[in-house]
Amino acid sequence: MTLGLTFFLGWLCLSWLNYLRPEASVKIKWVALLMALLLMVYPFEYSPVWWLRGLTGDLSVTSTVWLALAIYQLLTNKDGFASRERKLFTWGVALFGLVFYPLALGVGNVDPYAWGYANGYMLATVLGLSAWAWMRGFTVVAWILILSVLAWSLGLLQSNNLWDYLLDPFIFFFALARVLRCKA
Amino acid sequence: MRLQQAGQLLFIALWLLTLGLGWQKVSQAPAWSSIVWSPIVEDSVAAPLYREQLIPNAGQGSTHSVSTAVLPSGDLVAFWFGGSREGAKDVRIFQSYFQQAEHMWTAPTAVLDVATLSAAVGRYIGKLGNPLVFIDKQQRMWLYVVSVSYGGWAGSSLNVMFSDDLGQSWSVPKKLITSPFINVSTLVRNTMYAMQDGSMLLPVYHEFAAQFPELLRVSAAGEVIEKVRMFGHGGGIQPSLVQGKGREVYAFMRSGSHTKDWKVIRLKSENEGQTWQDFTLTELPNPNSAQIVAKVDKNLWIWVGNHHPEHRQDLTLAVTDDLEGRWRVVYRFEQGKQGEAYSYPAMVQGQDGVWHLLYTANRKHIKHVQFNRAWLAKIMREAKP
Repeated sequence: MTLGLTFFLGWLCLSWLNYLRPEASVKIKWVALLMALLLMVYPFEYSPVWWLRGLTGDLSVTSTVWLALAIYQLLTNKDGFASRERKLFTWGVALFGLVFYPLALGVGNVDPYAWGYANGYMLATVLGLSAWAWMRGFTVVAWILILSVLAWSLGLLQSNNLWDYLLDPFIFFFALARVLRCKA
Repeated sequence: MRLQQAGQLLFIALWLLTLGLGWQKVSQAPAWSSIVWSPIVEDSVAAPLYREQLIPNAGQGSTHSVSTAVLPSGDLVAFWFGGSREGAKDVRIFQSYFQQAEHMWTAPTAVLDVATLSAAVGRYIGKLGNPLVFIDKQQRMWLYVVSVSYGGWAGSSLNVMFSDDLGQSWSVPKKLITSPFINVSTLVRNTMYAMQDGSMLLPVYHEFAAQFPELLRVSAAGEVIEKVRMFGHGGGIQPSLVQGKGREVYAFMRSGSHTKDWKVIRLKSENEGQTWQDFTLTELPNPNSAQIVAKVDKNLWIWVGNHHPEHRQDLTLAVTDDLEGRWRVVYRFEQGKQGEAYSYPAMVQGQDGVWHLLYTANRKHIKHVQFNRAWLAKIMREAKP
């Protein structure tokens, strides 16, 4: 599934259009988006998505939802993320990634990535977090968590590991950059 | 208001559905199993046997990293990578069969190239690396191949393809996702092992930010279902697993460039590979080169590798009667000159008890050495204590 990368290229095109023609109508933006996606995703082989996938692999559900919200914002000028929730999300991803990636890439003997293979505790934690987020009004975070688990249960990405649905280095570095620039 | 209620109901319904599906997946995960070790076959010939030959070169400028397995007929199959040079885009995976009756290797044929793999896994692939072959008890042939999209070997990932007719035709290769950081960097070298419950234990290694050995537990369908970090404090790659005197498992490993100890590393597991301890630098020198260990008798193990801390000129056979004890060098398969290299041994026992050792000879050929237990006993008697 290359939905995340497709959204990324769509977001890139819309951002470029917004930069060149900030006054462009919603209709023009939609047309530009669809045309760009058609040109960049198909034909599948040798398309920009194909090259990019060699470098990045599939994006996580979290990145995919984030990009979908970013496209929505560019098309409608409406923010899909409340600022309080955006802050929680950005700080959460950045802080979590700072611990997770060094451990997963070989610092010490504990490998948190190994917990992503059908681990009942991890499943309970993620679903518990999604319920908590929903009850606290962090609806986007709640949906991201639940959609990640759902996609993992159905095997929609190539990975069999829940972490690959929840997190990828791109959303981590993006969140980290926002935190460092105090734009969370 | 009504929309908000509908949203809440949808979330609750989806949450419960996700819980059910997720729990189903978790509950289907099999518990850790035990390794099925290949039985040690008695020699069918009592006289010492030692034979050498080269696998025909299919015109590749460079060949390396052979992997071999015994076919149900008793013949062998071997895979290696070959091309103009290691890491070149024209590198392909070659396959050849050893016909026992004629003592001949068939002309190598290419089974995988960059373009084919690229199309199959739906992404750009830059180069191919180590292959690894395994034949399971259903006589299904597994072929793992390392590939890199961009950069060096630290950017490697694994692909797997299957053959139900012992290498005549292959399934579409599939990319395995084994690492959280853009799927780098997992590589294979030494053989995998079947487990009692039908799953497989695949020794792999990681070499991106740090080098360390790992085990992937793979389902009978080829899905990664579990991962074990064998030792995370630096060092030890290309693990070769071997059974001890009882059910204990040992892993012997190439030193790796991050350790700089230039000794073969040993780890031990008391629970069929689920956890590992006793990190030990053995007395065996290792110039950051592949090595392999095999059990040849109830109380006898052999090691083949480069027995030197700096170069790959020699290829040496050492024996021990205690995997935690001393190794005794008993034979040099190769004693090359400066600049020569004999490396990357792969070893398997045939159905007649004969051991088959295959390795890279000067990057020009894959060499095949056959020896039996009687020859081993002879050189052990002749070697200095």
